[in-house]
Amino acid sequence: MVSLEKNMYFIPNRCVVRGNEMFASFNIGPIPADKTVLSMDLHIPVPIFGISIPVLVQELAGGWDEALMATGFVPARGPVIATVYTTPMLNECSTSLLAYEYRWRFSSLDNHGLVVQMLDPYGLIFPYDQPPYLIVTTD
Amino acid sequence: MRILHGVIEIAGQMGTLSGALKRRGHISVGYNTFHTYLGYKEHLINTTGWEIERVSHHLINFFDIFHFHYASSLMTNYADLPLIKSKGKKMIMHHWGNDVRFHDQARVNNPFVYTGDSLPNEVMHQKLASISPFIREAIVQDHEVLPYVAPYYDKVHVLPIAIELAPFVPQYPSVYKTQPLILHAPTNPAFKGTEHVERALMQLKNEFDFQYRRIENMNHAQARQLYQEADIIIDQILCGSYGLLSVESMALGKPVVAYIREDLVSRFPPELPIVNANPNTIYEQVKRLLLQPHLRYQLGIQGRQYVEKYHDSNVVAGKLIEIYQNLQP
Repeated sequence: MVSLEKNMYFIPNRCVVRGNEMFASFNIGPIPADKTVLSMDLHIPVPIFGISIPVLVQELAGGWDEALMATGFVPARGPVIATVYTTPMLNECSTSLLAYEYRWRFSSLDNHGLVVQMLDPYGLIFPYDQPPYLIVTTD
Repeated sequence: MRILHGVIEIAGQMGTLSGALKRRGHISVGYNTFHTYLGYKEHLINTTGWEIERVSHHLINFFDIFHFHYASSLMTNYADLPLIKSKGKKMIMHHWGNDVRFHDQARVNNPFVYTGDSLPNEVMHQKLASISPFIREAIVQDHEVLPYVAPYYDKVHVLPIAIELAPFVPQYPSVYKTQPLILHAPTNPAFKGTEHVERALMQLKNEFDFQYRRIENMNHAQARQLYQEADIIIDQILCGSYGLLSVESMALGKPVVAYIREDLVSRFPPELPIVNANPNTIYEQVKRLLLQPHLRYQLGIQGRQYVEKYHDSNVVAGKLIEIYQNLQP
């Protein structure tokens, strides 16, 4: 049995799925100030598929919210964080976001979140009712 | 399992249970909107009711089991409960006492009880009547709380208060101490009977040499440091059952004085070592402890053993997981 005691789990405070794109942001301010973050991994739900597909994870550079997104708004994109490859027949992939921990935790006004995009020719879409989540491990 | 605890933290229990569930490999998060000077933060996300309601649809999608506390839920007027139910997720309500202690019912077996912190009967009834069509099972910590909620649920589980034992290193009272230290830590003096405690201690001061310290408005971690120095700890003497302070004090190997209602004594394990005292008997019971340092030491040993057997969070989590597994959506 693997102990998850040192993990904190964060669900998005904003999340919108548009087909093969998923926009999300996380408020990690509640991490107690006396804790040091050792890792911060984004877990992305993906459809189970027989071959590995690339998933682009990119920072968002401008503000948005769920109501605004319902009007068709497209937030500005920033630098690419990572391209992650899914494992065939698994429903989740992950990537480290440790580089963003300090800014998201202590400078939350700059935290616009990220966009995840499946780069495949098969028309795969993200499940609309399974949000991504962060696992933060502390000391 | 993915378990959400929320949204009112009582006695650090959401955090303690989440920590124990995570040690067993489950994802568990305590979302707390009730912020006090006690400063609970372990295994919790401290947030606001407004924020919880705003992200409730994501929470409902992500978690499998919703373990609500103190008659709370994710949204005002329990609007989330039918949504959670429609998604086939499991729910359970954990009642802690003042959220359901009907005033007149509480006094039937206990002339001492203070119910001023409970809402009016009609409000508590309305809440329970709103919850129970959607949540069919409840948890309470003991048989003092159980009768208030039993009419509303199909099943009520009794699950002891949980404590993470590792930070509580027992320091048994010395039999050679000539000036014992008595501590009383009333988060709510009216509820705990502080007036009666201090009246008895003033009388005893005329006969015995001891120190008394009342701990208030201190965060929980700081208060715990002070408990370690005590030779006797007095918890509530009105309510009729024991709470977290008693459990933590026993874990530290201290003799504990608290009121256990006479009809409830047999509902606890027979080895419960709490010195039973109400406003009429507190003077005599504390006097007995002041006169017998070896008794203080022995009760300390018994208290630690009792907590290890019944209140260790790992033991409680095992029982909780069984409850979750048998819950119907």
